[in-house]
Parts: sequence; C-alpha cells; structure tokens
Amino acid sequence: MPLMFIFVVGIAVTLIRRRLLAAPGDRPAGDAPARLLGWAAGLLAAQRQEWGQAMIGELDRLDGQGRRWRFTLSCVGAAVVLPPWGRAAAALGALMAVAASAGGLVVYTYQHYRLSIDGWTWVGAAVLLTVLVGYILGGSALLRRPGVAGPGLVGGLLVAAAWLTVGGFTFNRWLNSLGSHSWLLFLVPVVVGVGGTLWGGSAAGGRRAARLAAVTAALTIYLYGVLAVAVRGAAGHDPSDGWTAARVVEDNLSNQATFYLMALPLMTASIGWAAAAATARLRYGQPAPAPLPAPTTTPRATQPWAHPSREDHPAPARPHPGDPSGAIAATRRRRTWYPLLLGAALAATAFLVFLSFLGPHSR
Amino acid sequence: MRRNRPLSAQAISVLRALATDPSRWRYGDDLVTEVHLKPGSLYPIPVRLADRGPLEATWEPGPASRPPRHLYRLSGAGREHVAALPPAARAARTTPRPNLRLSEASCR
Repeated sequence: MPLMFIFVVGIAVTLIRRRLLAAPGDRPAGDAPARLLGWAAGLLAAQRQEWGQAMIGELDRLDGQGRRWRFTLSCVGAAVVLPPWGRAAAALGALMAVAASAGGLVVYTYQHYRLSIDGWTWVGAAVLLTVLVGYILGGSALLRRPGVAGPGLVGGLLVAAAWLTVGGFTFNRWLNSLGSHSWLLFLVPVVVGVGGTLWGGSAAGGRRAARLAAVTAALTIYLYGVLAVAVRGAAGHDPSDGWTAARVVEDNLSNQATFYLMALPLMTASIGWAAAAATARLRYGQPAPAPLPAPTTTPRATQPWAHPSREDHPAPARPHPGDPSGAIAATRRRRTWYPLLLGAALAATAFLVFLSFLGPHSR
Repeated sequence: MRRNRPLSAQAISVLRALATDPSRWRYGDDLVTEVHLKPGSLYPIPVRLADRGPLEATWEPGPASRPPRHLYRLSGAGREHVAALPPAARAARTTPRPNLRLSEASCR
C-alpha cells in the first residue's frame, strides 16, 4: 500500500509540475498528433532526421483528426521500435538481454520449485512483461538523446552497486536483508543527477541521465534478485509463520519485482531529478528563454515544427500580451507553490520508502 | 549507388509508382496512397532510395512557420533501374502488400 501511494504521489507531482511550471505561451504549437510526432522525430538518430522531418512536413498538410492520428501513430510506432544506432544500439541490446534473462529466470524458478499457477499468476506475468517492455522502450528513447547514454549507463551501474552494497552482495544476505549503509541509496542518485547535469550542461540532461540510470539499475538489480531466488529458493523468511517453501519462493519473487522494478527506479529517478534541478539552478542560474531559429528550407530538429521535448526549452517567464503584470504574478505564484509541493512529495516518498523497504535492512 | 544490395519489394514498389510519371515530383502522402504501405513503413524507403541514387529529393518550403515538405521523383539512375527490371520479376516483386512489417518494408 505505501508503494502504491508513492506511485500516486510521483505521478501527481509530475502532472502538477507541468501545470505549474509551464506558462500558457510555453506550450509547443500544434495539436496532440503534431506534438507527439515531433517528440518521436527527436528520438531518431542523426542519420534518420531527414525521415522525421519528412513525416512532420506531411502531417502538417493532413486534415481530419482521425487521419492525423492514424498517420502519427504509424510513424511514432516505427520511430520507437526502430533500434538506435552505434553504441546506443549495443546498450539497448544489453538492456534487452538483462530483461530477457530476468524473465527467463522467473519462468525457471516457477518450474524448478513447482510453484502453483493460477489466474493471478498470469495476471502477474502480464504486468511483469508490460513493465519490462516499458523499461526497454523507455531506455531506448533515453539512449537516443545526445549526452544521456554515458552518464545514464554509468550512473545505473553506480546505483546498482549501491543497492548491492546495501543488500549485502551474497544471495543469502540479499534475501535476508542483512545489508547496511542505506544512505548510499540516497547519495548515489544525487551523484547521478549532479553528474548528468554537469555532463549534459542542462537540468534536462541530468534528469534524463537519472531516468536512464533508474532503468538500468532496476533491470540489473532485478536480475540479481531473481537469480538469488532461483539459487536460494525459500530463504529469508521467518519459519514461525508456517508458510510452505513454495509460498516463500513466490513471496521472494514478488518482493524482487516490487522493490527493484518499482521502488528502486522511482526513488532513483525522483532523487536524481531533484538533484539535477538543484544543480542546474546553482550552476547555470535561471534558465534563459530558448530562442527559436528562423524557419529555413533546410530541415533541422531544432526548428519550431520539430516540437522538441519541453525539457529542451525550459519555460521562461513570458509576460502575457494582454495583462503583463497579472501574468507574471500568476507565473510567480505557480513557481512558489511548486517547490513546496515538490518538497512535501519528496519527504513523503522518502519516508514511505524508508518505512516499507529500508526498515528491514536495519535488522 | 553506394551499395549494390538488391532493393526490397517495397522499395521497388515505390520506384514503380514514381515511374508512372517520372518527371513529376510526389509528396510522401501520394506514395502512401499509391503503394498502400503504412506511413511509418513507407517514409524510410524514399529517404534511403534518395541516399542510394534512384530518387531525387527536394524540400518544398512551407508557408511562414510551417514545416517544409519532402518531394521525390525518379532520377536517371532510377529510371534505368526500373527499365532494367525483368518484366516477370517486376510484376511479381512490385505487387503491393498492405500492412507490412517495418523490417519488410525497409531497403535491404
């Protein structure tokens, strides 16, 4: 239940943040299909940018929402599914291999320990598959962004190392929650957020690095945890409960998914995101308005119709043409509320994570 | 052409559609309609064909602040390529198949 609350808080903060920080004039031009296709075109490798610009130009001339959505979804599907190029492709392959190995180990564990299979097992399998595929797609999108792969992957390994340190390294200590140094779980995401911001030169770069680190660490640690369950089986549970060995194994498996596929990435991304924002504010000061280049006949991803992610253009405080002082005051009010909301949400998240997960490590 | 690997059936479909009026510039949307491929599958094809030589591509500037559109037509090499296709193979390989997967639609 606390974890569910954490997710609700995280989603709410994300949505409210967009509302509070974006002034009315900051919304990218175009309807939802245009914005979605612009985002997808930004995922394409440099060698495929011309393809993305051709699709954007074609969408601009299409009429009818149904036709525009069909066109956009077809193009977005192709852009997301197409593998990235170069080193990003290798990193994506590694993430896929880790995810596939973890899924395979879960199947092996079910067969090896003869765990019972019912309807809820298939529901859980569907959820697990969805989460793993979602992480792969999310990781693929992040790996395509310039300046994200390096700090994100290195950060992911650091975060994984921190969780292994806290978990105790050996399978037995891992399943019995005998680790220590829980502070590492907070410190390392901060390092990732700060390092990603300094590496990428912007808060957006730091946030993306933190997200990629969260995905990388989640998949890696989940694989390690499932491997521990596959090897050790019904370890790490108080025998006085009277649980059967199969039930303990099932519980261990679900714990790995809950903690390492849900709590770990949420915690890493949230802390890294806050660290990136703070670093950018301290290092680079108030973000300057990003000037939009004049349109030319040569397509570039940075032109206004490419609709790059809003993170690439931090929202400046633009006065409203009709009522400048009122609009500025409203923007200031929104930005005053945002840190308060963020602080409260982070405090609640950290407290609930501590209660629900870090507590057993102190045994 | 930079590579000598054979073109896919879908790439040849695009060439054949353009060959019906080789001198006319076409939009990508025209090709989507003529070749019956999904947009996400079609758009890599003319861009890659333009890289390889059979197509010429240009950008049509849009009105103020509107994105430009990509235009395509057969190049001289593309006309020669279509003319050199064996009639039987041309008929068999250029029959459009709707709902193709992306991997099938790309230029091999």
